Amino acid sequence: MFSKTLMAASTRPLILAILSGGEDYGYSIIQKVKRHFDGNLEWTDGMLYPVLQRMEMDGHIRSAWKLNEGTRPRRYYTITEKGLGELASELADWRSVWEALKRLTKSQPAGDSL
Amino acid sequence: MFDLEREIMKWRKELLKHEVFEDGLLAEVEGHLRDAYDAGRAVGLDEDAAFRAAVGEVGPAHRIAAEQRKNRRVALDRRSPFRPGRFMPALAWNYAKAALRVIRRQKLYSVINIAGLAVGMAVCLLILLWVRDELSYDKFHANYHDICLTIPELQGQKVNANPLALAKAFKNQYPEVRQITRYSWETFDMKYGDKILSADGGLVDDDFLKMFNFPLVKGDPETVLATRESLVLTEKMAAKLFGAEDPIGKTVKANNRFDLIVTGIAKDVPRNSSIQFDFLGSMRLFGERGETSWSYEVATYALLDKNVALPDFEKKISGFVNEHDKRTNQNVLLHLLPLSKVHLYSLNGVDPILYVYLFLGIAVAILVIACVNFINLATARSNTRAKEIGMRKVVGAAKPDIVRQFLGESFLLSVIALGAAVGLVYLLLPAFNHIAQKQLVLNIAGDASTVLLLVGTVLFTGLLAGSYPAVLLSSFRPVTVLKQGRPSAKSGGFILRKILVVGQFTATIVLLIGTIVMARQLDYIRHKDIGLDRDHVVVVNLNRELRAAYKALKPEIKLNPNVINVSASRRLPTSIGHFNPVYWEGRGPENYVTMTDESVDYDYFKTLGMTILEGRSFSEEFPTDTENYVLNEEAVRMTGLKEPLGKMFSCWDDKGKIIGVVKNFHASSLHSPIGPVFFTLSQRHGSHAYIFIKIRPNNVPATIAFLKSEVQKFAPNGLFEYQFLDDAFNRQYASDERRGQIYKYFTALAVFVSCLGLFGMASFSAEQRTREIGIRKVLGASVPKIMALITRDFLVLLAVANVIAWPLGYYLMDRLLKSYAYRTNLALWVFAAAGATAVAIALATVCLKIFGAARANPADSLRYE
Repeated sequence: MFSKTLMAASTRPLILAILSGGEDYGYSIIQKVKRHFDGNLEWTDGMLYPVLQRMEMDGHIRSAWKLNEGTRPRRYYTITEKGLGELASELADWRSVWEALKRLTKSQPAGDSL
Repeated sequence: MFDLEREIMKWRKELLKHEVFEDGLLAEVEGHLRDAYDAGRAVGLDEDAAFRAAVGEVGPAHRIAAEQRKNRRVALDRRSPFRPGRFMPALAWNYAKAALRVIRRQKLYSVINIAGLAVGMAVCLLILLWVRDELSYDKFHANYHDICLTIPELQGQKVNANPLALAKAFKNQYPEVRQITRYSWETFDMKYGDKILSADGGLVDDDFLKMFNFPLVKGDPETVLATRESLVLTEKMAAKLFGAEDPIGKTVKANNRFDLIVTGIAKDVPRNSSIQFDFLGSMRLFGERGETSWSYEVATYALLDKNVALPDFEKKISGFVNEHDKRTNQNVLLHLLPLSKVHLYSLNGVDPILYVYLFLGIAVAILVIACVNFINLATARSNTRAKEIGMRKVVGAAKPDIVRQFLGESFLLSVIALGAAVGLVYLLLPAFNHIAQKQLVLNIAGDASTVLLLVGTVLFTGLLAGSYPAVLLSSFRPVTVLKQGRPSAKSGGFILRKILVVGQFTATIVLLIGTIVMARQLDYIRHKDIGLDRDHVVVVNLNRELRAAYKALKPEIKLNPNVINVSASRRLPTSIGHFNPVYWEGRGPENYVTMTDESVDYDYFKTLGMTILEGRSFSEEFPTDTENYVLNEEAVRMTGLKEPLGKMFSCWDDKGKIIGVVKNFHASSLHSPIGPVFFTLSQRHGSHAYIFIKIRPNNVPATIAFLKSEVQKFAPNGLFEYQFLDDAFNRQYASDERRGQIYKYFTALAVFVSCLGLFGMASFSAEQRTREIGIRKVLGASVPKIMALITRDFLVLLAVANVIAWPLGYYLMDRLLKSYAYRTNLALWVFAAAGATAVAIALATVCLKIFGAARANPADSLRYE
């Protein structure tokens, strides 16, 4: 189970990462996240939507309502240029945290493996 | 039976308890719920379980709402994606169009609003210009903050006359004094070539031009006043005396006595200077006496160090005169009066700054009255805009949008009104300047403070007039408005409108009371028995030549049958005010008190129509009268002598007897009480400066011409200068008269603006009740009955206004009248008259409108209903 703070920090990069693969809508985004984490991540689904709105206000994503044949109307989100940039920098940040964690763990012989 | 739609409806209601769930978010979350439900069903859950699982997945409403609220906080500076932009240029244009349409369609109300606001603003601007000018006095001196007048106080009276020798000793004793100068008021007859002109100016010390900013056009400020003969003329005076000639170095004969040499030319003195002069000369003309005498004759200005604390310094110097002037044991306190306070604060009694506040109050009152008109009309006529507001709200306008729209409209009207007001000010300024004796200008282009004034006026007016209607109108509920075509019955500030009308008329009635009281007080002053007869008395100024010739001149003048009496004195009766220490029988010389004195010629009391109560006047039959005294009642009261006649009386060491008591008379203006005065024959104290000639009222010009020829026979080198004594008296009240005039006109304008508003309200009332009037007429009501019906509402408001205005007016006028030592009473009829005037004008206004409505053919008004 992830800590609350880690969840809070990872929500936005996760959404960006999913949307970098193409436009998507809220329910589907959550299903993808859940699938990837095998139930280790517990989101209150409804809380995704305010986050999405905030990201739209920040200009990282764009949204539009679409009505596809045979389904109900859904709001689809697309990543913007700015969002792609944000994703890149998030990736770099996470990577450097990960690198640091790895290095520090190796230099301490008493440490357990991760 | 499980009903999905009903369950979702219930669930949605739960969400809607939180205001943050706007439509988009709600639809999105609902879609999610449905997807989750479908997924649950797909893995084989029954309907109920699938729904409960889906609801659990979506999560509790309050947590989603909390998350969404974070967005709102973020959105303080960025609009949420579900809101339209804050400013939409197209919408602003639409607002402007709507406003202009309303102005065009409701011409009467627009004219009332704009005219009222324009008059209010114009009055406000005039008064603000006047106030700005009053406050600007003496501020053009760079040192004005640090310059003070020294003011002695004798027996509780402060006087702006200092001992001649004070200045030098004062500066030597106190290191806080950087520079000091005396100023002696003089009127010189200036003679150059054949030209003789009378000029008012001052003799000053060398520091004068260094302390004050009176720039020189010619000459060096360090040296222009360095010698006894130095003379600095203003440009205007120099041009009058010398024409095109260069005056520098020329000799001018002053008062036929001094040969003065023009050493410098000063720029003309600004009008907002409390020191006014045509010329400056040197105090050295006083000679030895100027350095040693402790006679109270000159003003003294001291420039203090920047860091001197006035109250402390004042304490330190208060005993200064007593330390130095050992002639008497009289207690003289020395005070300081900062230069910045000279114009608006008086030495004794009420400060003129009271009138600055009073007029500011009137300015604000008139503008507020105009704003009240606006508020009343806007709220009363809100029906006409109700549908528009409803429509705007339906298509997405929020309350702040409507507020902005209506505030914008009131600003638009304010700006239009300001344009009209500026035009009015330009139109009225010459007349106003004439009444107020000012030279005010409205300089829009080049003057930042004027621009600020104008912008401030618009902002004040727009906000004051617009905010309440904007808030009220924007709170209409679209459902009510669109269904009924008008806001719910009792909305629209019904009570507030009444309160505002009452307030408006209270202010108007108070102003009217003020006008009547001021007029009565001025009338009282003009006609009060002041103890002397100032009518048909010609006053001729005596120059040096005439003084010498007075004895021969007097019998010559008396020969004319139109001349009743001739006498002379050292000062005008309006400016008796020279303090001298006196004692009398039963009181030792060490217990001096001071009284004002006047030295006069024989026949003085007879010529001026003053009444001798006891004893007799000075007479040539008693040679010892040159040593004797005549006292006024107040002086006798001060001595406490029961039988004053024949008692010893002494000024300084000049002992004599009291031979007569003259009835009290008003020497100075009625602002101050009558002081103690004693008279001596001028054979003893100095010489005369004025001749008084009591003439018959018939053929005055011929008598004046006769006087002129006689005077010029005896003094061919002098000027013939004369005035009438009643003019000299009336001059004392010139500023009272001026203020009364300004006040009167402004009150008239306030009444006008109030009535404008009332006219609007009456029109509205008539319009609203057209159908009612029609039905009443059909059922047999007469025109007067209908008018009585409608005016009754207004009468009640006016009655309430009277009830409030009378005590308020009494309180204010009582305070104002207290500035006069002698004053008219506040009779009840004054209040009744003011109230009745207001009611009459208001009723006339209302009837003017209602009459038309009441007479209209009921068929016309009912046909359309």
